[in-house]
Amino acid sequence: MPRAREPALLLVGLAAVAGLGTSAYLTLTHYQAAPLACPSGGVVDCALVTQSRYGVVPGTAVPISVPGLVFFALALVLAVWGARARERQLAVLALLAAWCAGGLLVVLYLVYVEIALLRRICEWCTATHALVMLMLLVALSRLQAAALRRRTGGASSTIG
Amino acid sequence: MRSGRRPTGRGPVPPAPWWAGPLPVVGVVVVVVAAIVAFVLVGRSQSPPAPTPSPTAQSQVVADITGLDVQRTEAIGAGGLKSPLQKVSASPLVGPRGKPQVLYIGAEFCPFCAAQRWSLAIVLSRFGTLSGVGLTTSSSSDVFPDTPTLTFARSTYSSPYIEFAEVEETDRNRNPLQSPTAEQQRLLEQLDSRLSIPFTDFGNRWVTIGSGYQPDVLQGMTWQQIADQLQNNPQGPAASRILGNANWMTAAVCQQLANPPDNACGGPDMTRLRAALASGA
Repeated sequence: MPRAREPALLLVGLAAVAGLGTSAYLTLTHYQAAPLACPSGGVVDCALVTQSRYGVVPGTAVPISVPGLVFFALALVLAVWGARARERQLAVLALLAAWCAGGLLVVLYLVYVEIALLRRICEWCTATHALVMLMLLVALSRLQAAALRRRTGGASSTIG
Repeated sequence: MRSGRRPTGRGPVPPAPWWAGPLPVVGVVVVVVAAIVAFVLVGRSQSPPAPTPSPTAQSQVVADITGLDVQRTEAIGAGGLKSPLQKVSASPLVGPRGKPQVLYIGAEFCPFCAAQRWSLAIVLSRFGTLSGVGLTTSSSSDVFPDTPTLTFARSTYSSPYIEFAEVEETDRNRNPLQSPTAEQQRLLEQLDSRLSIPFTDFGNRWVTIGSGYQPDVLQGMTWQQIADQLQNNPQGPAASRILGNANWMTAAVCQQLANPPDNACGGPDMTRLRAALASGA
């Protein structure tokens, strides 16, 4: 099995797997109308958040966790590809960082809905939001390192 | 002093560019934290939830409003109000069960909707059973702030005479709540060109745009005080306006029923209002 050339990206992959699991759980509970394992009635109230009109993709009945599944699945593919790529690694990392940045914009909107509009927090949603943030920060730092390597032709690692 | 070792054949190592430092990563964290702080501030700047009474007290108010004595409250007549109704010419509006439909489009923030709902709840109760009505207040930051009112957002209605459709477009903080159907939106645009709310359509025969009275008479009152005045002092300033508006709207409903109920439509005061409506008053 080939060694990962960017082992830090495996962390992004793990975060994506965790995000996939959480999104799948939220999607299943939505379609099965099953109760979420989460407190209710206080500031933390997953049911109120996920069953609000903001819990579905606007204009549809599709729960917002379905786009989340797509996001984490593609992020996982990009992370694995970026970790192993010999060619075009910089481009893959740039794509991964851009994808995660887009994800973070959606996360900010959802956090706005929770805090400012609903005044309730969904802890499962917050977990996925934190994963997106972590993935972006790791992807960004690896993109920086790869870009710097290309710029210096590898010299940066020998300065001593 | 030890100098940097460079690979042979390469030029001097260029200084690290700005983007290679911690700025991008730190920048993302700072932006996210700032956004969350801003969201908290925005959330706090909105009106607090309406101070509603206990569920028992709410039930009492709703029971009082929907159980008013028809003869006694119709005796108020127009309550000194001019007719709020406008005659319209459109194909009859009927509900899913084929009965004439009363369509209400409003929003919980809107103080004029707050005034209209008291009257409309009385009208509906004269022809059927209105359930699931809650209590709230209009926006704290609009004119006539915190006007006590009902909300139809989770209401249900059954009647052998008419059907009722309601749309509360936003809550009292102007957050989206319910959306009109395409047909309801088309009606609103056709019959209420300025899209003013509250818009109440009585079977596409008469409409009211706005409330039939000013919400100022409700200012400073509690829900229970309004309910008590309606029950015990229908001549009072708030009750007479609520009932006058309700009586005009009741006349509009009666006028489009083939067999209107005597209890709601047959009394002498209602007969006078119906005649006035028929003559274009």
